[in-house]
Amino acid sequence: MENALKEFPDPIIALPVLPDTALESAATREALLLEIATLQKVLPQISDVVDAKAKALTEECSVLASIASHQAHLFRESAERVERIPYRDHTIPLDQFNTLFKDTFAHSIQQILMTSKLAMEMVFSLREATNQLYVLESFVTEIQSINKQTNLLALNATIEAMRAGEEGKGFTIVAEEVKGVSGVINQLSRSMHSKIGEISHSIREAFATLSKVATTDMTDNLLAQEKLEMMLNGLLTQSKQMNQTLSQQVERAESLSETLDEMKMEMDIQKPINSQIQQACMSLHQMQILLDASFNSSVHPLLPGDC
Amino acid sequence: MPAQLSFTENQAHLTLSGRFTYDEHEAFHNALTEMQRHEPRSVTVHLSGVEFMDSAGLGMLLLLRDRMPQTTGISLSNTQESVRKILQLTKLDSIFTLC
Repeated sequence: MENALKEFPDPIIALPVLPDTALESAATREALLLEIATLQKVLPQISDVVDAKAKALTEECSVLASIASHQAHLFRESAERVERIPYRDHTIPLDQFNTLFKDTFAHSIQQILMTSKLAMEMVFSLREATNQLYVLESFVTEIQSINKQTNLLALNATIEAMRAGEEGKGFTIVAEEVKGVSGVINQLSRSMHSKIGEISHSIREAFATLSKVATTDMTDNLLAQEKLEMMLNGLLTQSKQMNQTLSQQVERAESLSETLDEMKMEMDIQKPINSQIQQACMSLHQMQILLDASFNSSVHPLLPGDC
Repeated sequence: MPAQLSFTENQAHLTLSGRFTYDEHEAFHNALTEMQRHEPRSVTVHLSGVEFMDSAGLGMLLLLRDRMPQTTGISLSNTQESVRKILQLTKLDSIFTLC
């Protein structure tokens, strides 16, 4: 704009010193006066056009500055938004989400490990219980074996007591008692054997159920952490890059807005073009008077108000 | 995959191979019972032949740690890349010495 204004001459111009020979020519004088008159007509028109254009340009600068400022605002908002994610009724920074995610996953992994350990602990405990049950079962079998012998001894004692006749009657009673006790022991050992069988069956069922739990491989769940962390890190990197790009756009839009504001201010403070042109018209008018005075022209001089 | 157990002085060496999963629990349990009986000062689990370890395998290693006295050092030697990865991921490398 400054350069454009400099294209116009300074309004207070020194009149050129024309050689007498040139001014003696009436034709030259007439031509000069005609040129001055033409300039006096054209210059105000140019002034109006330039002023109108300058005004329009100022308004456009103002609109553009406003748009650039709004864009900067939008870019800033977007830059802030890409670094946060919605969570319930508010948003949290992505960094915080990353930490939360990793902590949660680490906790889940520890729970998976703990579950696996407990499942295997139960498997081992059931195996140990089963082994103890086998020992118990062998004891019962031994008791039954001893009981059979006791029963046989009682039977033999009864036979021998009967052989002894009257003197063996006491032995018969003792043998009968022993037989009775042996019967009770036999009954008890049968019950124990039966119960051991039931417990063994329950353990086998529990073992089968537990096997299903223990054989459920959680390795994929454990490995999922690595995949998800990689994806999350990619997301964070992308978000940071986007934030950087948007921040650069904010800077550019703000710079553009400032430049446009400065241009507008510069155009506002410029001396209006038409006043400079008016001064140029006055200079032309003075030239016209001087020309008329020098050569006593009959041409009616134009007044400054005509410009 | 039978778990092979041997003892040298106060050290127990447990060698595993193939897939260390739930299917190996019986062999591992027997070895563990044997180690508890011997009370070695340290246990080295040789894993160079183990190509895969599932969560049950990890659970069994944790049980080994739990059932042996805290003073007994337990190290896992020559782990393959896939096994080492899962040990690191589950942070078991902070419980056992990887060598």
